This record gives sequence, C-alpha cells and structure tokens, in this order.
Amino acid sequence: MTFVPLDLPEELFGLIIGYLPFSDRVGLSLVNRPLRERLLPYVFYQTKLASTAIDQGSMSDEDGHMVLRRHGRYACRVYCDFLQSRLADRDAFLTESLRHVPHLRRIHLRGLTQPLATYIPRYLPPSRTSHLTHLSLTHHDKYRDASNVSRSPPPSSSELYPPDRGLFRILARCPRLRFLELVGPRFRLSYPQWTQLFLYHCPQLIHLRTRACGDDNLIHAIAAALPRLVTLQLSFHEIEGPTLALLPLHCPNLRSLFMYPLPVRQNHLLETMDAQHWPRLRYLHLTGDYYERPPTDIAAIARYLCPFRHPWTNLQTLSLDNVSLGDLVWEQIATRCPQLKDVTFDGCPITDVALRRLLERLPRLERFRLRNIECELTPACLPKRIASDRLYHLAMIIKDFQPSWLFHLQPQLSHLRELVLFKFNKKPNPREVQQYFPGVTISFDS
Amino acid sequence: MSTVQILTSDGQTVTVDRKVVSKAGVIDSALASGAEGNSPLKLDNISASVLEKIIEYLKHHVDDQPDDGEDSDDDIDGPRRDPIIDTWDAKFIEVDLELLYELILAANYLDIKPLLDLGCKTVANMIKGKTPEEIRSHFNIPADFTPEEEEQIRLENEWAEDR
Repeated sequence: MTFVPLDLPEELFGLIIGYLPFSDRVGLSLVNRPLRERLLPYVFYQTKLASTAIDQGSMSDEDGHMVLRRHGRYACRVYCDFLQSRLADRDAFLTESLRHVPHLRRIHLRGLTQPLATYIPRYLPPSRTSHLTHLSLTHHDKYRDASNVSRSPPPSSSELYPPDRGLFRILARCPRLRFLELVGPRFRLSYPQWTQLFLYHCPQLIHLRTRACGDDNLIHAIAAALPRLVTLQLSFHEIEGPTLALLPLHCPNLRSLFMYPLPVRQNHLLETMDAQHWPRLRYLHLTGDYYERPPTDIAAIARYLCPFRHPWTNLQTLSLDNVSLGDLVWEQIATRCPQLKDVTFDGCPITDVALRRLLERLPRLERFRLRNIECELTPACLPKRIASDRLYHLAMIIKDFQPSWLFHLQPQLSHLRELVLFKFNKKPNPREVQQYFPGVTISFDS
Repeated sequence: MSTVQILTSDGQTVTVDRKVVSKAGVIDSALASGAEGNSPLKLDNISASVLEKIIEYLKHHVDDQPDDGEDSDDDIDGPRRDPIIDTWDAKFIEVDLELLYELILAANYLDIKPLLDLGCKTVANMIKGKTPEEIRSHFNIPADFTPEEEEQIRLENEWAEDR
C-alpha cells in the first residue's frame, strides 16, 4: 500500500496537512525521516521561544537556542510567555532567539512588565517590525486589572492609565500590521493617536482585539478612521453605553464581533445592531456581565428582538452567554439565521419550545452547545426530526437532560463525533449511551 | 443537449454533457476560448477510468453553487476547515488508495476545488487520531528512527505549538 501524501506535490501535501489538527501533524512527523523532513514547516511554523525544559531549569539558556538554530527558519509566528519563564537574562535570551527567526511575521508577547518603550525596540528594531502582520501584547497584571474594570461602577477617567507613548511608537513602525491584540489596562492611546495609526501608520489593520483597554477614544477613532475593520473584540472594556451605538453605523465590513460585557442597560448597541448594517457578519459573540444577573423583565428581553428583526444571511457562528431571551427571540434566531453552523448558548435560560425550534429549523448546524444547568427541560425539547444532517458536535450540559432522549434521533446523527453531557448526570449508564452512538466520543462537563 | 468529446491519456474518447464538464475550471476555460474546435479536447494525464469517476462526481454536483470565495478568519485563528463530508461524497470517495491519489491529482489539474478538498479531507481522515505506530502499520511504512532520534524529535517538538 502506498502512502498517498508522501507522493504528492508540495502544494497538495500542504492541503492535506491543513486538515490535520496540530497533534496529528506532530504524530505524523514521528513516522519516518522523509515525513519528518516534509512536515518541519508545518510543525515549526509557530514556535515558542523557550520550552518548559528551560523554564524549569533543566536546560541552559544556551541550549535553548539549539532548536531555533535548526528550525527557526520555518517559524513565522513566535510566542513568548514572560510570566512562566525563569530565564536568567530574558532580554538577552529573547534578542538572541529572534535572530534565528528570519521570517518573523507574527509575535505574541505575554507578561510584559515594563513600559514598552524601554525594551521592546531591542528585540524588535524597525527592520523587524516593518514585516510584522500580527502583534499581540499582554501585560502581566491582566487578570487582576481586567476583573477590576469589569465590575460596575467603572473606574473614573482619572483612575485609567494615560496614553502609552511607547505603544504608539511601536505600532507606528508596523506598516503591514493586519492583526493587533492588546491585553491589559496600560495599553491606552488617545483619540488622535488611534486615528493616526488607523489612517497613516497601520493602513492594513483589519483585526483588532482588546481586553481591559477598550475605551471611548478607541471607539470614536474606529468610527472615524477604521471603516475597513473586519474583526473587533472588546472585553472588559470601559466604553460609555451610547458610544457603542456608533459601531454598527461605522463598521460596514465587520465579519466578527465579540463583546464582553454587554452593558445591560443604557446603551443602544442592540437597538442599532442590524443585519442591514453588518451584511457580512459571520461571527457574533455577546456576553452579559457575569457580575450582574441578566435582567428578565419584558423590556430588557424585548431589546434582543432588535438584532434579529432582519435575516442575517451570512451569520455562521452565534454565541450568547449569560443573557435572557424570550421564546420570541429564540424563534427569530431559528428563522432568521439560516446559515448558522456553530451555536453556543451558555447560561441562557431556554425552554422546551425554544430548543425544539432551533434544532428543527437550522439546516446547516454542525456544532451545538448548550450549557445551563438551571434549565428545566423535558423530552419534548427535542424535535422528531432535526433540520441538519451535518451535526458533529453536540454538547447538552444541562442538569436534567437525559441522554436517552436522543436515542430516537440516532439515525439522523450519522455525522456525530463528539457528545458532551452534564458531569453529574450519568443516567443512563455511559456505556448504554455509547451503544447507541458507536464511534462517538462521549465526555462529561459541568 | 450540448456535448463535448474528451480524448484521455489512454487514447479513449469520452463524450460528456457540456454543462457537467464545465464545472472543471480548466475545461470551462478551454471551451470558452473555443479550444476544442472540431477535435476532442486532449487530457494527456488523465485516464478514461479516472475521468469517468470525475464525471460521476460532477454530474452529482452539477447544480451546486460555487463558494463565495470570501476568506474566513483563518489568518487569525489558524486553519479551521470544514471537516464534514456529505454522505454521497463519502460513498463516492470509498476507493483504493491508488485511485484516490489519481483523483486528487486530476482534481488539482482540472481545477475542481470541491473534489480536491474531498480527496484531501479523506486522506487527512485516514491519519487523524492515529499514533505514529498505527500510521506505519496502516500504510505499511517501515520505521527508520532510532529510539534516540525519536526521543530527540519529541524534545524538539516541545518548541512547536499550536495556539
């Protein structure tokens, strides 16, 4: 028997490898020498600058460059976590490491501690930043600061960090930047700085993710100077409610929006969020504030009717966390999002009728995850026939959900590969469930 | 019904519905430029048996709409391609490895992207979830690493990671 991939031209070999998860690429690279040689670019395209062996002190810093010397030429993305690292001289180590990565395009630095201007230029002189397409910077105190700013009331403007000139200088040297991720409250810029970056210094920037540093300056600058924006993530943000309403009106090309927390009141985002403003939107993830119970009054629930008043013709992924929706909103989701493939509802109360409608009306569903242990569902939550014959991941993490309710759907679930059930509900016996779904990986979660 | 004649690499002439065969980008371009004239279109590297299999695929998908071609967000999150294979396609692609190899090459040459994707997914599915030893056993590949080399590779792989 011939092993097909090995005989194929490089272009086709790459297509096959593109369908393999990283763990399988690594496994394949251990089969024999020819495969190892061919897989090196697909295994080392993303490389850590220090392995656990160095972090734990069982390998010297000098040895730590050995792998990069051999395979650094394949790496276009590098990742370094200063939080975990126990390197004696991190500055020297990082500077030396990056010398072995000539094709650097993406860099992720986590656990930054000092003001950026003082040391990043040492690792990333303008000759390197001019080629960067992706830059991700995470400040070391992100979790503490992020949780602080997510609580209400938000800190006053005097408590916020001032604009970071070092950050501006670095970003101004990245003319090819397409993706920018900033995590931590220190990464703030003024409105003129953001606007200059969007208009002049980073003219290709289209993906923007921020955690704990999104503020009104940023949103006003996006509205004024970044209509090309494709991806926007705002989490732990400090943005006035009315300012959020600018987004739908000024970002017509948006394809991906993640927002946490979604202010429950005093904002007009939901009212202005309309499929006609974002015709290309494919990914929508809205999360209520975990520190507030989602409002359940009729007026609050009715606000969620607004985003679904027109059909989302391209929406493929919808994720809603910790929000309360009425049956009418669920009905609208089921009928006005016909392209949905990936759906997650976490902490959203749902009824039998609503769940049944979703499953019997979404024809392209591939991944469906429902997690809400408080839901009171009955066997009537499942339809006689589900609309999609492509479902391969199903997670029903609900206290009272009985896996046996799924048995009558077994003939329609021929593509099912993963079934996730509530950890503390193992009736019937998992073995019995497995008999109905042979070949399906059954796991338990809480 | 308009038809097209195709001369295969093993010298056979196959007559195909023009609408069906136009789903192959290369043939569509050739027909649009009037390349066939009065003589059959020559496909020097595709045999009649492979072509017939391809025509079976194209007939089944003749009314499919092409993808919109819009990029996904792959450049942020890494490859995340659709792993699902439709039931008919799965049955269609149940062929021996030699024919699978021919189909992948032919789909690439003829510019039939859905068939190329189907072939590549099928090969990937043969590899997924298997240990190196299982892959060797499945494809009859002899092991050529010494235990020391294998350990060295495992250490090196620690530097590589997928995020």
